[in-house]
Amino acid sequence: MPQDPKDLYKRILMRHSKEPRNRRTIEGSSSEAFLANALCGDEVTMYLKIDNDQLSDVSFNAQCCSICMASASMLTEKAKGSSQESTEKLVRQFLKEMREEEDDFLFDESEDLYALKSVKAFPSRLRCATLPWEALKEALSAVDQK
Amino acid sequence: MKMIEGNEKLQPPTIPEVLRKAREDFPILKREVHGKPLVYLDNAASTQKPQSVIDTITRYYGHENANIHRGVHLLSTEATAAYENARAKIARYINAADSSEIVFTRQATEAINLVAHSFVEPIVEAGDEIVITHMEHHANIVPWQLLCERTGAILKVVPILDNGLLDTEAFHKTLGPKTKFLSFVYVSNSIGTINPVKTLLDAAKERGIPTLVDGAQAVQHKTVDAQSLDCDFLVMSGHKMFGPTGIGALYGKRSRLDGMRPYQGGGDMIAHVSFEGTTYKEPPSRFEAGTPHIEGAIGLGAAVDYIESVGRDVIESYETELIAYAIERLKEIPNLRVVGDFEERAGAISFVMENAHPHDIGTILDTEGVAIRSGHHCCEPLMRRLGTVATARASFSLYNNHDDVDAFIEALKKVNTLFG
Ligand SMILES: Cc1ncc(COP(=O)(O)O)c(C=O)c1O
Repeated sequence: MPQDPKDLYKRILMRHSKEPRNRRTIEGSSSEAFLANALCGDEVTMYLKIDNDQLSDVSFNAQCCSICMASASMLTEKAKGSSQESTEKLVRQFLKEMREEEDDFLFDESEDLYALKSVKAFPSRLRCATLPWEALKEALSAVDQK
Repeated sequence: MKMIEGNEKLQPPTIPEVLRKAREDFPILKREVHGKPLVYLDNAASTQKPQSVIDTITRYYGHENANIHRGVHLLSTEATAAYENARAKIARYINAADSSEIVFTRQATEAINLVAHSFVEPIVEAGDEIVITHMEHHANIVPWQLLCERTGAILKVVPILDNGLLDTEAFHKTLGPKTKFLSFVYVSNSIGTINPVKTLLDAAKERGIPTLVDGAQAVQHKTVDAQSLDCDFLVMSGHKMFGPTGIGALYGKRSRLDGMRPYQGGGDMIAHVSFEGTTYKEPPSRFEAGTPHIEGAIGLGAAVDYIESVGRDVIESYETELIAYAIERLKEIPNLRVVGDFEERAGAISFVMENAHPHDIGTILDTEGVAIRSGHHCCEPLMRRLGTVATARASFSLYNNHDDVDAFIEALKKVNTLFG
């Protein structure tokens, strides 16, 4: 099946990449993590603040492509206000499903994050979508070690 | 084909007679990707292979395969002759004084590491300086950093100007009494700059500084003559000049190679082995430990034959015109900026778009069948110096034509449609 870029660059994704949410630093964050994709030069830092096991704030800074930017933006929206444990579980699940060929996807069409499912058809761009999630995973595990 | 009256530069270049059928020599160019004809503009990463190279490798395994420099049997004799014949072809290709000045390596990267280990390391002490430039490929940065870590030598970097050209004034000031080696790129893989090699080499020579030229992006586009350049070392990669992967070559002046210590130890590089002490062979064998990449070397010989059947003058002038045509047509794309502001360019055009990240450009072009590269092109320091982390890069070869450029431009217009 021919890859159609329109499948990849859906409106939701474009909106998040052009006007990303929560693109800022958190002063006094509980944890942060920087990750880069050596292949293309994308760079993402995720910040988070934890109050009573809840992610009271999640943000990011990035110099990256649209897929990575949109993914980071949507991730911060999703994670903000969730518990640390459920976020860790979500991130693990997402990273697993992005790697697998199967059609299941943890987000349904009612959520913005559903747009990332289309990235699965573009293997060379998978890492763009997962980079912010991997960074958040690192930031979360750094909290645990504190 | 597109022509606009009154702008001569927008005339696509005429394809020279010898290149008319060049596309047919490269079977992969008949391929489709994503249902579109392949437009291959990633030649700086690796070129495609002509049928003659593919046939040479097949014939080698079908008829001649044996280990070299070993058996007395006919196959081994033939394989040895073919391997050594390939060495002679490469020597002629870059006009080395003798074929013993060609050492087969895995690629340009290994050739640079070999020189760092076997030539430079024994002559530097803590505080001595190695000079490179700001536009080097990582392959010509990291081996020197490792060497500096081991020896306490200092890596000096010649700056570049905002337009992407080398700062030659600063270059002359960088060379000093402590400079023990100069290593620099002939043609930049990421932005296509052609360095004033002869000027740089002459300045080093005046001060008695030995030199290495990274010819990985030069030897397939221009005539490179080692003796007239008078560099001490020159490196190249087979896969970037229509040959197989896993094979490259180091040219070293025989007077330099003679005094050098081995790079790796093993079979084929020794004269005698005993537990009291081992003696090494003469160059080039001294630097080719173990069974080499025999079919790679022979394939590279066939690649050189192919280039010579076209002629490097023809290649250089045709590619120059094609690149000029592409640069002119890129002006049709709003929001697009070519990186590096200079007239003479070889091989590659790097660019950025205001509205789309290079990685997104790469994906959209790919879906149109147009293969380009996006990223830092193994030149992170250069990218940062030019104020970016990544660019999109189209790089050209002798089989590209105006149809490829036109498809490239049309695909870029799609980027603008999507990213608006
Ligand atoms: C200028 C330059 N030098 C060195 C290299 C390294 O080539 P290889 O990976 O084949 O050793 C490259 C490859 O892109 C290059 O463009």
